[in-house]
Amino acid sequence: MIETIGLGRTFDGNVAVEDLRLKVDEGEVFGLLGPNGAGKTTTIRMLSCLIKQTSGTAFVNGFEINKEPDSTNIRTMVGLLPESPGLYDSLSAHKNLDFFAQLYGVPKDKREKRIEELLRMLEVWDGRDEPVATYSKGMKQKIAIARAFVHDPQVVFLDEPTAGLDPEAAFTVREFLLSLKKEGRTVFINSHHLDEVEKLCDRIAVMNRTVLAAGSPKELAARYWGRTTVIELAGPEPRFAEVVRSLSFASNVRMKDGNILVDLDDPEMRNPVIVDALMRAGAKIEYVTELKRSLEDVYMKLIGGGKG
Amino acid sequence: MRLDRSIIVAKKDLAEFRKNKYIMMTLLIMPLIVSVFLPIVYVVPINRLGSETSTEVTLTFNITAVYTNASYSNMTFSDAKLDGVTLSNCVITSCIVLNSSVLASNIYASQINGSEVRDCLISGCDLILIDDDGGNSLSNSNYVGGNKQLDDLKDLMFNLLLLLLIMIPVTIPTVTASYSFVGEKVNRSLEPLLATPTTDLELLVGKAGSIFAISMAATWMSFVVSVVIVDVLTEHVLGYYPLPNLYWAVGILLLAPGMCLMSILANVLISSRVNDVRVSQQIGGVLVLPVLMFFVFSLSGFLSAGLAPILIFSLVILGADAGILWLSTKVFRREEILVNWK
Repeated sequence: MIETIGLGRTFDGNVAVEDLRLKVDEGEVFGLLGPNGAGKTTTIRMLSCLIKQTSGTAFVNGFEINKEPDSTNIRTMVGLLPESPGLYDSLSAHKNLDFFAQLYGVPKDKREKRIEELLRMLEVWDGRDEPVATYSKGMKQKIAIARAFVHDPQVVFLDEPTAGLDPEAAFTVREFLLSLKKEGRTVFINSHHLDEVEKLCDRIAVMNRTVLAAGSPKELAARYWGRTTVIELAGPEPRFAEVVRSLSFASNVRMKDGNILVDLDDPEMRNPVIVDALMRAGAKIEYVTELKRSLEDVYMKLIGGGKG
Repeated sequence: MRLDRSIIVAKKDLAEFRKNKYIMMTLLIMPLIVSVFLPIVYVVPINRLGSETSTEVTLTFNITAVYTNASYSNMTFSDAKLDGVTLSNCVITSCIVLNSSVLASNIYASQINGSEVRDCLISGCDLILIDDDGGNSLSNSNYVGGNKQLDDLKDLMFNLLLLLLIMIPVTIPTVTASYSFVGEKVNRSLEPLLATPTTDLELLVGKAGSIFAISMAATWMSFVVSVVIVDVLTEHVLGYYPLPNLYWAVGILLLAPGMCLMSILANVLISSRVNDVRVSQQIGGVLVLPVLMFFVFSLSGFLSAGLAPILIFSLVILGADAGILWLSTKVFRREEILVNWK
């Protein structure tokens, strides 16, 4: 559905994005992570044909970006939530959505139905006729999200969909996006909210001008951290760590908070061997578990490395 | 170009204007003041001169013959009604001359209306019905017994008043048009707008269209007010309602829309190139200067000299509008607008 081939953009000699290579499948929810200035917004703007690339190219649903008439086709099939809601404050939510639906050529009967459906899903139906200026920040963001979906686009680009929202509003938005996931729509999310991306996205890419890593959150954790077994002992003693260290398959054995941590390439097979060795050495084992690596760990490792 | 997209954009902008008290006040108050104040000022000298020098001509008609749609030369007409006739080298006395062409004749104590009169001796006639603006030409005529001074003053004043009123469609867009794209930028609504499958030309036409509609509505409203005021205040001096006439019709229907479009397109063009409403309005204000030059130029009497100059000038302005629209689409850069945001 979306493929970037060495996509790049330079602003007055400053590289914003370089050699970006991504592939997002149809119906996939894809998250793009990166620090401020990593080029996420520039990437979305290039993919939605708002700005031109300076190198490489990309295809959205088979249409090449920034090449007429493909650009018009891309604009027709793409929905965009920019960084700021960018609504017309003096107009109501309904008028805002109706205006954009008209520009996308949605027929009147479908427009009304679609607007009602979206506003109800996002829980802003009751205030639909009030001027947007009277809305809270969360409501404005919800209307802007509804706007991105008002023409039933095949591909949606969302730039920080829950930025600045209170937990309740963020929850509503997440639930809305999860419900859309079932519709088989391709959703491309830029976000700083790692836990949100982890919940919503099938796959993610971490970028800092270029892609540093891509895959599912689990795949990335395994790829960049390996798998670590945590053994909690009733009476931790340094000699028990030595017992584990003496095992040929154990690597990076260390004590932390009275627990033994050991990196393993195949914990399912190696954990029983470790337990057996420790029990024979007189250790009292309380539990054995696998250390969970969050997406944040992966992100920090990648971005830290990227910066270095 | 899909006109329906432009209309959608225009309707949205109009809806926004309606909700904006500042814009609505500007649209109403400025034209209202100008359209009321200027005519009152401009009819004062006409009324003063009219009361000082008007010539009472008492005409008595005793129509004994009617001549219609024919050509005559070297004839004498007396106590006749001449309608749609072409006369040359005739003597016309105590006649009613309507919609005719009179050349090199002597006209006495007659009423002349809607006729072209050239190279004639006109004496003791009801001159209030001889009017350049009514389609007559009085060039090289011996104008005896009438108030040519009043007629000339009236023509000059009305023509200058028209040209001054054209400042309305020029200045109104400096508020609305300068806000068009900059306003979208300030609202951050331009990015989702540019992400739609709307072309640059459709956007520009839509933006300009809404401002044109609202500016011309205010302009034509002020023209109506001005015409009514002028007619009410001068009828007792001139003996008839002088406006609207053909000169004003060209001004209202061609020159005013042309100047309005020029102001809009220039302001929209600026608005799409700068980042700040204040800068846009400042530059938009500077744009009024060439229009002031136009007014100064009109004081020379060239534009107020008659129908042909204003017609030609109007067509030139409309042609220039097409050029600016073309230029606008060439220099409109979606990317620069987005990237150069402050």
